[in-house]
Amino acid sequence: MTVKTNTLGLVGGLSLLMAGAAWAEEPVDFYSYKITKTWDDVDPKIQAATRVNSFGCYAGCHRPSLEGVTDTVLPLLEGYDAQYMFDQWVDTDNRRKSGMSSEMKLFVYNNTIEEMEAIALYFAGQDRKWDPKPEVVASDSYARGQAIYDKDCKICHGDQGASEDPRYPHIKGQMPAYLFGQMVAYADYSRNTRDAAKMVPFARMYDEDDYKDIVAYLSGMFYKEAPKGEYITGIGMPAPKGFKMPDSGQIQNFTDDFGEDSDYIKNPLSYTVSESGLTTLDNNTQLMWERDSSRFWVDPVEARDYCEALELDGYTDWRVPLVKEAASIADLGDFRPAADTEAFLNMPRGSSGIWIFPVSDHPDHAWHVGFPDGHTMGQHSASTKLVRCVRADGGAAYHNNDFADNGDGTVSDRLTGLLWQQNIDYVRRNWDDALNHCQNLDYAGRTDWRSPNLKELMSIVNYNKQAPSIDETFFPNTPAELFFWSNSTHVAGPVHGFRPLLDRKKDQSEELMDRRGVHDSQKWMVDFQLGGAYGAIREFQAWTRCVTYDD
Amino acid sequence: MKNTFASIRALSWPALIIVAIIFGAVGLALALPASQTLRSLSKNEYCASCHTMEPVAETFAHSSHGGNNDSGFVADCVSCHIPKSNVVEELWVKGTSGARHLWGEYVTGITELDYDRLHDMRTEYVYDSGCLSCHKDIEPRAIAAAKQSDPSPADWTHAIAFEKKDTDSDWACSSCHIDIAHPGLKWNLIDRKYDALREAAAGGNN
Ligand code: HEC
Ligand code: HEC
Ligand code: HEC
Ligand code: HEC
Ligand code: HEC
Repeated sequence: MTVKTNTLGLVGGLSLLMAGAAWAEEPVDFYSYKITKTWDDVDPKIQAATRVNSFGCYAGCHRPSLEGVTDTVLPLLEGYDAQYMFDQWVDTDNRRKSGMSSEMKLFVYNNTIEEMEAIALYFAGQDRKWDPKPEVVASDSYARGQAIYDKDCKICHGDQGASEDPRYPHIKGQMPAYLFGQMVAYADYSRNTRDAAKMVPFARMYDEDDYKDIVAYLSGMFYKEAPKGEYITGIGMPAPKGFKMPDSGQIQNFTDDFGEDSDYIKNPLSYTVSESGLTTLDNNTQLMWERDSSRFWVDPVEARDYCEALELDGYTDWRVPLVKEAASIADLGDFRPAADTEAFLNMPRGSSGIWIFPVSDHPDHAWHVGFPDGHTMGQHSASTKLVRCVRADGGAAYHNNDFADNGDGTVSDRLTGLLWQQNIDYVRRNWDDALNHCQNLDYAGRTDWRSPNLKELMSIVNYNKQAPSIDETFFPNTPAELFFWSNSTHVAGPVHGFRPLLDRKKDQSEELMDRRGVHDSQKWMVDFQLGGAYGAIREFQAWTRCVTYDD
Repeated sequence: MKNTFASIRALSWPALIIVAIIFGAVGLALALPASQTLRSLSKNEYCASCHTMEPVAETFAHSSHGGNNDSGFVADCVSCHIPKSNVVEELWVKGTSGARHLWGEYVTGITELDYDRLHDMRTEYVYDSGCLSCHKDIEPRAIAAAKQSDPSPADWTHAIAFEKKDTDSDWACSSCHIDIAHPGLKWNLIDRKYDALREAAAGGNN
């Protein structure tokens, strides 16, 4: 197998980890893989690529140990045994569901075994910093934690968590919120990695107050609870009157084959800014948006409170957007930000995004749409993002579908006006084949099928449930494993992805509109384990569900 | 045998109940240790003969107890899945579980194991007494560990397990030891599920 090295260079963003070689192996191969190499055995070329890839882990989410941040719910990656890290990584797909683990799924599929092995070996060779805070060391909590630890944990995890036995993870100096979250997850069985069972009974011996003490002893820091709140779920909220499904905004061409996003223009993005200039009406969805964003960084609880207190153009019923609502204003034909900058001021352009509800598969796992490119991902509620409030008359929301099973293998959604293929063929194919498969599909007496664009594909996600995050009465046996292809392309692509930025869509040259020669652009897909929307290289093997206009 | 059983699916409800009773009896009869037929029916091939059992048998072959070890030793399925206590309990479990499998396979038409459900209830059908009938040294080592200054993690952990396992199923052998017999079973089942769906889709069921 060949491993394509990353050509991106040292630039931030998620795409870094995703630009590797295609996923070739079966899940079972990942599951039983045993690392026999050392870092020194790794091909120097792969070593170099791995060092670059490790920045992808950092840029995306994890913090480098050296940075010495005081808390993150995500683990520091340095200092684990390589096999342990590899197995944990593999098990984040559909098995390890503690905290934010499900968010790692993409990176299981977007890396080959060799790449994962090299990354695991690389981090195993890095030191984890140990820098306990004096006031913590002097505290009663620390002393209580030490007593528990020495009695019931030390035998496996070693002195103060500095394990030297590869079977038991090195937990000294790990992040407090991460450690705390893992103890809770073992105790409630949601961390069910292959070796978790040996840890579960020990976690269940103690309660959350004990965990705080243990965490103080192991990390040298106090655990701080993440902001917790009641958020809207979207359940039962009616659709806005006159709702129309907006296009993705993508008008550029990326392939000679017919069937990509820009081949289907139906409801172009269209907005009306109010006289005061403070609000923006989406003429398609009929949602009214705060034209500016919060302009300061908030956690989800603060986001909720900010919107509740907002008064604009005489309206007071502002709220945090739901997932599909925020995704609906993305302009997939634009980049950094992927939104109309006239209609929406101060849209975050960096890797951050705006908060959206409901929460994902964990109370602290809140969604956001990232507006460099329009991706939908989860983040921990202890992090901060911007918020952009929304409202609609009659407490309406774009969240719930209006499905009808037509009894012929198709499902109509009377909300979006789309007709869906109910039973997919369970064949995994690359992006180009997915386009062609739908174009050539003869199903339920129709031949006008196509691959859905990203917004359309997200429209059938049910964000109130997981694994699969879709209504199974209408779409039975939808795989929560892997991803589903859309026909949309990541418009920036690795070539133009970072600096210098592309021209805005409205100013783009003909050359930028016709990008059929650019092979490396990632393609958008949706995960039906949780409902996230990410890009992957076009060779990736994903599922396909075709769609057509219901008219 | 399979064809005979397959035809049962077409039977009416009262008939099914009678069939169930017969199977219950057959299950019990099958459990009689003295009978020669029975011995062979307790063999792993018998357990693997059902479609539903294929994935467990397949993963078993890759496990430390299924031959993937230095000596080529292969444990019997029943050595873990039937208790080694007294004849009455053994017979009861064999009879009821045997009947449940037949019932599941041929009557309710279970075609795949529900891993997550069965995993969560594993301590109910994996018997500590079975493990201990082979691993005879575990308990004495665990008792001795209490007196040692530097016990191994295994002995130290087992000492707690013996103290608690009768009242708390978190400390049963199979609570901690999952991958000893069917490693990768979850993925195996997932792969099979999509293979079957793919075949069905290709067969023209829409
Ligand atoms: C019998 C050995 C054993 C004992 C005793 C034990 N653990 Fe563990 N622990 C493990 C194993 C094995 C894992 C890895 C499990 C997995 O794959 O999820 C683990 C994982 C952990 C993790 C997650 C580490 C990570 O990086 O994600 C934490 C935290 C932890 N243990 C804390 C404790 C504490 C606190 C105690 C005492 C109350 C304890 N352990 C007792 C075996 C043990
Ligand atoms: C007639 C087909 C058939 C045969 C033969 C068979 N099984 Fe099963 N077995 C099943 C089915 C069907 C289930 C699923 C039951 C369920 O999901 O409730 C099952 C479930 C199980 C379970 C899960 C727990 C339980 O008891 O429900 C175990 C353990 C098991 N079988 C062990 C065995 C062993 C050991 C043998 C050989 C002695 C065996 N089976 C022979 C069909 C069979
Ligand atoms: C060394 C002990 C051992 C032996 C021998 C063994 N098993 Fe198991 N079996 C287990 C354990 C432990 C589990 C629980 C696994 C899990 O939850 O992942 C299990 C689970 C199962 C299940 C339920 C699977 C599910 O979906 O969770 C079935 C069915 C089963 N075994 C059948 C068999 C058959 C058939 C054989 C012989 C081919 C066999 N077992 C041999 C220990 C054993
Ligand atoms: C029929 C006898 C037999 C039974 C029953 C049995 N074992 Fe074993 N077990 C063995 C033998 C023999 C080995 C050593 C295999 C080798 O050489 O690697 C072993 C190895 C092991 C190991 C170490 C290897 C590994 O896979 O981790 C564990 C742990 C273990 N057994 C646990 C159990 C548990 C738990 C049960 C009950 C659910 C059980 N065994 C039932 C015979 C048995
Ligand atoms: C609380 C978790 C736990 C329980 C319950 C448990 N074990 Fe273990 N067992 C371990 C750990 C930890 C090891 C050390 C090896 C490892 O970490 O993988 C181990 C190792 C073993 C080994 C192989 C190594 C050796 O020292 O022999 C066998 C065999 C074994 N256990 C059998 C059993 C049996 C039989 C039972 C039920 C009486 C049991 N275990 C219950 C945690 C547990």
